[in-house]
Amino acid sequence: MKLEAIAQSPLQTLWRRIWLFLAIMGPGFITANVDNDAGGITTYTLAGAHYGNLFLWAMVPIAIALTVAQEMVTRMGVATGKGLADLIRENYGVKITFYVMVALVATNLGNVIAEFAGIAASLEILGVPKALSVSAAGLFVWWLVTQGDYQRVEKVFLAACTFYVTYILSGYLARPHWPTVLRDFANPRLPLDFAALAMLVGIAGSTIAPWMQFYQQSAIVDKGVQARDYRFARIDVLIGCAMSTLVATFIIVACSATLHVSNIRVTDASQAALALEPLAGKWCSLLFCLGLLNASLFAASILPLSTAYSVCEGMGWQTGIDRRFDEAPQFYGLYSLLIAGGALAVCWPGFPLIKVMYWSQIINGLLLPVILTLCMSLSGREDIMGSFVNPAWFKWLGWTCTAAISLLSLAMAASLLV
Amino acid sequence: MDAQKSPDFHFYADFEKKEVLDNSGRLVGTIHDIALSLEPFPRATHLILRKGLIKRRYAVVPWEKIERILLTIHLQFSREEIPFMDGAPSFEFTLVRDILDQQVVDTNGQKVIRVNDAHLIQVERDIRIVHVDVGIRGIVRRLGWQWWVDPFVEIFLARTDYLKDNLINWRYIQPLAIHPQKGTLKLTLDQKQLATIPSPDISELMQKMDAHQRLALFKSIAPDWRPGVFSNFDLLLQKELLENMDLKEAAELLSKAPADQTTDLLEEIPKSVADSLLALMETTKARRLSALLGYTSDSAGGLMTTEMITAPHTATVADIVERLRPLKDQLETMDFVYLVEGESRLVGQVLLRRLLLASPAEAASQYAYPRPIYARAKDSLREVAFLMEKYRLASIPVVNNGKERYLQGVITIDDILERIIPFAWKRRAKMTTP
Repeated sequence: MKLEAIAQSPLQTLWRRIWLFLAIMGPGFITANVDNDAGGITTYTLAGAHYGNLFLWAMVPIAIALTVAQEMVTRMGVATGKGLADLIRENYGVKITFYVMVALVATNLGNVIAEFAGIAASLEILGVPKALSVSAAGLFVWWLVTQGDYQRVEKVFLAACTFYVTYILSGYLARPHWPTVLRDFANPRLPLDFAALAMLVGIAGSTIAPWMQFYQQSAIVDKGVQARDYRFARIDVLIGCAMSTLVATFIIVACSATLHVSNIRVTDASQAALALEPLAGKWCSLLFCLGLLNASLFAASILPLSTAYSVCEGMGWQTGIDRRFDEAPQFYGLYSLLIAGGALAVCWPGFPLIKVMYWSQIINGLLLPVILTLCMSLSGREDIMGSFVNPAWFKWLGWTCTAAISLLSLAMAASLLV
Repeated sequence: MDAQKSPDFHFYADFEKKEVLDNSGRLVGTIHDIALSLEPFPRATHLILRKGLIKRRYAVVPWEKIERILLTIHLQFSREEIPFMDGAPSFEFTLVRDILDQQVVDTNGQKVIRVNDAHLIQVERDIRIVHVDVGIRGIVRRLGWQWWVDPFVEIFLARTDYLKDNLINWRYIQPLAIHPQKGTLKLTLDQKQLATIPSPDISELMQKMDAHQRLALFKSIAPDWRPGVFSNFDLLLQKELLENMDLKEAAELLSKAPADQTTDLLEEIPKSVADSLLALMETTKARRLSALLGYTSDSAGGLMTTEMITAPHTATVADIVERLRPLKDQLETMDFVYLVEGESRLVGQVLLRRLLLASPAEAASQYAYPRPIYARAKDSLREVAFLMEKYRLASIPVVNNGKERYLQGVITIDDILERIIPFAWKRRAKMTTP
């Protein structure tokens, strides 16, 4: 009797709940942290340095759209137990899947190149030549995932993500005029000058990227989150998305309060590091370079793997790092190709780095609306989702976000092409 | 292209491009899907047509109403007679929805594979599925790229096996489409064929499926086979299946599964659920399980199962053989018959193999070990393993903790190995990676 009473006590259930949450927490949290990768940090830094607080307001709608997209795929993962690539293949056929996968590989290759460029830039501050740093990083990532203990290293990466807190502290210590910051935050302005518009699109595009939907859903399926534990997964997504955009906001605030006020045009990493000066003083460069290195390595470990998984899942090829090379040749081939391609592109003197990144951004801009549209229509089908089908209010919100992102993305793609 | 050379075989990717014409040669629509019969080689029963790009409309044509299938498909009536409706018609089993692009089980290769294309045989107007295509060439064909990829490969990569289609005979294929009402798989395979896959392999196959497919596959296995298959799954999979079954089904399944496994499982699920499961189970089984649940899982009491053969210590060999007959399905793990005095006081143990050579009228106790070798319920895994190694036993009886030796259950070597192997691997891993 007594034992039973203890088992049912509120304290016990509270602990059980916390424990359950911790067990399920992860996918949303990791995705959010990887979201602030080399490309993200660069974009937010530029936005803050060049435009001050002009785009602060945009972080709210971006956060909402990000949450909508990530919550949707989480729900799809829980309801169907399938990855996003699986679902697209089974419901839209091989043709659409194939072209989506080609686009995903193209844009993710661009992202991987950006991560390796981030590694090169961060270690260049410390005087390490980029040929050395990038090839070492490429080998490290390849080894880590195929041979090493990635699960353990992932925790190190996550722990090192506390680096982002330095932006929050630095933004605070830089003593911006808070009333002005708050006013800017609540004051949506849409500048009609072309460069500023492109910047806005860049912020949205680097915050919401197609790989995140594929990664999030696969991670949920891998964890085997059950229907009744879905609410914990949703909290995980909400926290992740809130954190990701909060960090982005503070990067903008910190850069605005340090770089923008002293009129520094950021052209390389050592200038970007000055945003951390109020906190770290002369150590700001070291701090920034370690933070950027961690963010880039983390994303470089996840992106190629997630891409290879999605593509092989969609095309029906064997996947999994627990298989041998000859059992899953497409999987390992694609995985290795992405890493080698990303590293080579950065090391190769005379490689049209800018041009490749530019095309990858265009494909990113074109792919995102397609993915969001597919997700919205898949998660709106009762025969697939069962009781997890989009409620009416979510449909409105979801399609509005999809339309807004599509407009932005298409505008960016068009502006880059012009 | 293939259709022209050998008119008796089609790939669906080519077949679906055929125009559907009415009796006066006017276009009716394009092929949307083909409804199939549920038989060993599914036969096409209805043609589902589609027209309109933005607002799609669908129509159903029974297969008998097809006049002939050549380069185009000719119907027997005029297009005005075909009613088009708004929603896609629902058939129990259709080619595009349930097979094409879906995952299926290849029971021969024992793999879960994705179907890239379907290979159809045509005899007169009748069409049946004979193979599924799981190769790259199937993808190329579906993309409509065969006209340039095939010649390219022939010229530059002639030695690859791309040109040999990777086809799997339908005889070995079990689709994973789930019947919406019954919750089982839409079975096209013989039940027996499913049962030919060893249960550990079924469990491995299930890892590649989603949770719904796993449950449906499990439900599709004949009820008599289920406990056997279930007991081979790992704890995580057992838990998942159990949580998705209704309580009565679960209780029935558990009452037939080995007691020691069931205990482990009951410890994993919330107590309230475990209690209601126990309440639904047959009473004697439930009482034994509740007793087992009282032991910690690493003690002999937690390791043991309550399934064993006992006999009064005065029994003859013939008596014991009689007792064995109804237990024929459970004999795999049983080596000993335990001789008890009164209700359950252990006095001896007889190796079953010994009784083979004994004459029926003799007293079984003559063949017993000089003294019983047993573990106490509180003994640790290590102590039990030590005892079993010392006396070279594959199973050992467990008695209560008090002074008397009341028989509680039996620990078999597989229960010990199951716990020790992870330890051993961990130690090995530590030793090899400094």
